[in-house]
Amino acid sequence: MNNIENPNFVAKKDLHEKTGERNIYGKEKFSPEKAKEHVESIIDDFKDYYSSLGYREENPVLISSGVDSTVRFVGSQISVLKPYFLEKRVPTPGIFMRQDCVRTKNINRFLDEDFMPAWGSYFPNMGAIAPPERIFEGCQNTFDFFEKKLQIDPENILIRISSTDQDLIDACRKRYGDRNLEIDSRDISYYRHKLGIDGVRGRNCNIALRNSDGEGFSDVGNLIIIENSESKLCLEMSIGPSTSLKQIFGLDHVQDCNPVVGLESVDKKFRRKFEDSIITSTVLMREGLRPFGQHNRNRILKRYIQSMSYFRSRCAIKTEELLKIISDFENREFPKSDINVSGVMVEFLEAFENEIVSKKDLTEEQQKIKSALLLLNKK
Amino acid sequence: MNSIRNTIKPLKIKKGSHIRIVAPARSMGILSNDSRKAAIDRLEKFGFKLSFGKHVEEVDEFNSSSIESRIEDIHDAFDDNNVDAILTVIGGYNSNQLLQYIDYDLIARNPKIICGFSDITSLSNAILAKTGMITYLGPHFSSWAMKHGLDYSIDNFIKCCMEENAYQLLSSSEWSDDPWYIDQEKREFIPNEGYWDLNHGHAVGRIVGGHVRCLNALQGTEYWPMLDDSILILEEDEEIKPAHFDRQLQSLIHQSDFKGVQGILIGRFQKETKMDRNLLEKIINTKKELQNIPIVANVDVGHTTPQAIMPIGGSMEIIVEDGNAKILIIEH
Repeated sequence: MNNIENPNFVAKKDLHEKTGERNIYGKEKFSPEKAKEHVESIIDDFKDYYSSLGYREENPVLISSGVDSTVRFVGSQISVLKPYFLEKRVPTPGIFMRQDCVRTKNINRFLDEDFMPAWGSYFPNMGAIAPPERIFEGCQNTFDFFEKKLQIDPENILIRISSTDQDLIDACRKRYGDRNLEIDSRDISYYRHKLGIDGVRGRNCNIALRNSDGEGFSDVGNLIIIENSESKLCLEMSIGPSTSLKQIFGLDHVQDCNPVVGLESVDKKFRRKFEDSIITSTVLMREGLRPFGQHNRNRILKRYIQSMSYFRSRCAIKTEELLKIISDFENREFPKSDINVSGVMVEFLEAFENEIVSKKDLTEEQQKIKSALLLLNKK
Repeated sequence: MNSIRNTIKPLKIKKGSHIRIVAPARSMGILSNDSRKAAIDRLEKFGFKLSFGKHVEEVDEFNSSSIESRIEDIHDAFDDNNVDAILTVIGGYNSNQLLQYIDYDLIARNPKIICGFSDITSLSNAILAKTGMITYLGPHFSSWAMKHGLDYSIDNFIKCCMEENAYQLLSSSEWSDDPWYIDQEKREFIPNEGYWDLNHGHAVGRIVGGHVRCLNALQGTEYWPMLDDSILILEEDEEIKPAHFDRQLQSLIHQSDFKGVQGILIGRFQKETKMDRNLLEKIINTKKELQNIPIVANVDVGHTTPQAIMPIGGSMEIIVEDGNAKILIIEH
């Protein structure tokens, strides 16, 4: 039934570099030019796999679509899939989808030089839900995806789970022995999910893959039982393509899956945040969002654009250079698209910079950006 | 694309700001007492303090005044630290007489909002070319005398001249082409059909242009604003007919830097011009240079009322797709 004999992920041999040292997965870091192909390849594998199991595909929505009123941006596929389990109409065997997401927690600490985010604000995600009577099978489907489709050896898989979630433990124990289970290693909040719906919660275990040097594990996905006080509503399966690729290929950072070429040599304390501001601004502006207006989404985008001003100032990058960096990123990340927002992004950036230099009543954050800009102009 | 470089952005004004009225084209002397009183009342009620150039009442054979008088008033307005912004009295025909006498360094040292339209196009684009300062095509002093139908203009004046944020330029709900200054109560308002999306596409660039013949009179001079990476604003008055507009547009296309035009906004034509959408589309379609850039027409710019404000030297994004045109004023 499963078409797992010819996984895209390993069949596309041209994606794999032939030289250099291989890691425990037999892989080595890929170049920025190959990043997009790898991301799309693992997503295709996911879609092929769940499709072959009979899951139905759901179309993705725009991150800034406002489809879920409980969040400003779509931060998980669950925003799209909520109606299915709330109305108890999750089809058998389930639904899967790819959903691009933005979580904006990073922006609140972007200008804090001690803050080094492990994740980018933007990430593509792969997710599925199965009806409550298929929780056990859904878990096995997910494990199969890792083992058979991605060809991950079980010894490189770790399940972080709470001892209070016996149903999840049962599903995992059927498949894995004790050495694959890490029970109660985290605070209970780590195993609990909020969905922004009164009375509905999630209990999760996280799937981690061994770091590519063999030491330690990092989370790449999770299995979540969503329920209310009366009953279980569904099983959600969520897998991060970039977190998975980071582990398998031994990447330095998840953002190497959406590489911003040209910032490799800037100060380490700025690089990933600078990349994040470029990636997130580009993705949101390509959806048509613009950094002005009263809506929270527009305001947040404005903060990403503003932070770009700060980072370019601190890293002494001229707007012309920044424009090229953004444009190259956009062309590499969205090669088949006619849309190009790099120019308008820089227009907004310059408008903000002109505004901030002459404006008097500035927030603390704007003052910090202005100081950085003035310092740059003196150089 | 090459975004704005070395832009001088005048400080925004606020209620309580001091506005100097100058007459670089026709004189204030041609305004009726009722009109000038109504304009003063409107602006003062809005919260502005007003003062007038020394020579605004002078009237010569051309309903204007001497070059010296007009230059002195402009220089005084920029030089006076108590003046926050400048409004022109009304349009006319001769503000390009002033261009070689203007002290552009004085303007660059004392950047201020200067707002007017029509013949003021010459002044606006020349100041941009010589200083990099953003100027504003929008209501004259005399426009503020309009009793009915000015709300859209004022809303846009606030957004463009009094606030910092970027904004979307929406079309007015209704427009008028009547001689409102003759009878303020006998007005004809026409429902606005919205923007005409003549060519699809996406463009971002620096805003230049205005009244087409005034702009074209700058061709080949040091006052030409340069069209590299520009969004071109084109509007005309009732003197022009479709064939004349075609000729003016063709003349623009012949400029060596026209290839830098990223998109075009065309202001609503007055009824007397006899221009309609079909004719305009036909004119556009005859010009291969225009085929791959977004073009939006029937914009509230120019000689019908109400008016949007165009920040000349500012920046704009145009998105035209699926029968929908979106205009975003970014830098202003």
